[in-house]
Amino acid sequence: MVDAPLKRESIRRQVLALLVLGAVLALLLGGAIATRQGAFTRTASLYFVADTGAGISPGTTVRLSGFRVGAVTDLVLQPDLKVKVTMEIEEQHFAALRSDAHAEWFKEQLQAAIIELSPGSSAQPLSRARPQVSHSRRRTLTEVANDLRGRLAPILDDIKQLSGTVAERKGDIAAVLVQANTAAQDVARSTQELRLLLATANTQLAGLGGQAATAMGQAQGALTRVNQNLAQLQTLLGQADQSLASVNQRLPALLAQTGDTLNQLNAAARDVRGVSSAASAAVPGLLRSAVPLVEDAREVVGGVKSHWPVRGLIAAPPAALLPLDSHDAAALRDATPP
Amino acid sequence: MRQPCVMPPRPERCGAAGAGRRAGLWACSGLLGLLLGACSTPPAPPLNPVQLQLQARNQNGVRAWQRGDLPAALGSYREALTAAQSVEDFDAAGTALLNLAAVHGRLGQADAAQARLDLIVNAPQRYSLALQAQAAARKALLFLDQADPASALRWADRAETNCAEPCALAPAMANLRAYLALRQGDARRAADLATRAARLAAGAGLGAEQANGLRLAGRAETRLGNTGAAAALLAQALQLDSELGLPERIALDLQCSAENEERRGQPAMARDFYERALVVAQAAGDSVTVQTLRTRLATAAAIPPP
Repeated sequence: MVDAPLKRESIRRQVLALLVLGAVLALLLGGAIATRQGAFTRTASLYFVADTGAGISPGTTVRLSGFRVGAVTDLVLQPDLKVKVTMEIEEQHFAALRSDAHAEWFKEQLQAAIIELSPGSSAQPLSRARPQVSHSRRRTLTEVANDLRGRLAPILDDIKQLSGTVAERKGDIAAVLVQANTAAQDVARSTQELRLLLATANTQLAGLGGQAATAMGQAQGALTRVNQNLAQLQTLLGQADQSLASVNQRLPALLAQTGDTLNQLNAAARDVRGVSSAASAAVPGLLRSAVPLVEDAREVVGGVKSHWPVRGLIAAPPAALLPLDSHDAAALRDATPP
Repeated sequence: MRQPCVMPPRPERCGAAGAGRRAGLWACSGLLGLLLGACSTPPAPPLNPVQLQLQARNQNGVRAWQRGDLPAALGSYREALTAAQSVEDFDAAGTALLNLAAVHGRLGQADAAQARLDLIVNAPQRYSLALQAQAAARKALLFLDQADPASALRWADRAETNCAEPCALAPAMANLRAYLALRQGDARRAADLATRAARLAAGAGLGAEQANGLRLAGRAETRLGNTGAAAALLAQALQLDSELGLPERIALDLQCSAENEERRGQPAMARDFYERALVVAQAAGDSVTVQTLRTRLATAAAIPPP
């Protein structure tokens, strides 16, 4: 009977050990889960205000550069019917956000909705007192499809209407095609006529070329005569050269004589200048003194003329009044019989 | 006045004393004569500067008029008029206005001449009656040239009315009337008036006007056919004008004589007169008369002598 208690004790110890081990494992698992869930991570809150909270729910993943950094923690309907969405992200990533940070909601196909944070580029960090970021929604495939459908439907309706109209105006189109065909034939005829015209023009140009050749021949003859004249001119120039040579021979002597003459003229001019400068100094004085002399002479002559016996020798001054004469009338000066 | 030497005991001494006395007497006589002459003609009172200027301008004007430089005469008389007006000498101003009218008339500026004369005839309170008469006579001559015989005669009457006797304007006005009568075809009356004008001019010593009368009388006698009397009258006129040295009038006398000879049927003498007139006109530089005389000569040459 000793073995049974011992065995029982052993079993009890083994069960206890298993329980402890299980508890330890449970603690480890809980700690791991808590760690995994961020229970031991410091977080920071931020929020944005959206027109609608559709597609957003608490726990919606918040990503930064494609990595999960937090989740939506709360949605509150505001008095103005807008929705305040609060997110919690890791403290270390909050420091990377700037004041123009942006949160974009999107949902791709069947995956869960995601909020992607853009850190922004402003120099100011995101305020911790009022950590609001801007918000936008990326359209889902359904929305894109609806949009496309809204745009394509009227176009398709128009195409349908056009095709109907074309079917109705089939006869008119045939007539237009016939007219186009006729016009094309006219164009072809015009092209042929144009070719004929060009051929005629070529012929006439050839004729003109012949005439031009004749004219060129005449011009060449004229140039020949000009050349002859130039030859004569050259001969004349040769004679002129000879004349100039003889002039050049005689010119130095002439220039020497001219130089002598000019020297003499210069000397004469110097003399004249000297005389005139002397006169210019003396003449004004003479003129000034001449005026009173003339006045004196006039007085003397007047006095002499007014006294006997000179007065009797001088003719009396004429009467002031011109004598009236019938000859003053032009009619009486005319010999033509009146 | 020789001093007699009756008894010359010493002829040399007597001769020397006589010569000295004779020289003294001659000197005294000469001195006495000079003194008497000086006392007999007192010097004229001196003229003020404006009067001197007026005298000089009038003399310049007369000289310019006599040498035919009418623009210069016009300038001188304008200056004389300004000088006279500056001292309100109405006699001198009236004289200058009359002279200006004469020059304007000779230049063919009848309107300007009439305007000058109107200044006188419209201001009888300023200008003397003699000046009024002169202005009226000038206006009569101007109206004669303006082919207004009625006005010419009216102003001639006014001139003679205002003219004091003996009127120096009467011969000229008589010649004016004679010319108008001749133009109206009354050669007899023209001859009588012209003869009267010549007589009046001779009495007043107006040689040039006398010659004008004789010339007009000659032309009237030619018109009447009294070519002999006409030749005598024209010869007298020619003599007077030659004595006075008036080339223009000499050419006119010769031209009238030539016409008279043509009328008398003496073409050779007529040509001779025409040639003489042509020479005179050429020498006087009267191009218009030269051209007229050349035409007359050409016509006279075409007429065969009788």
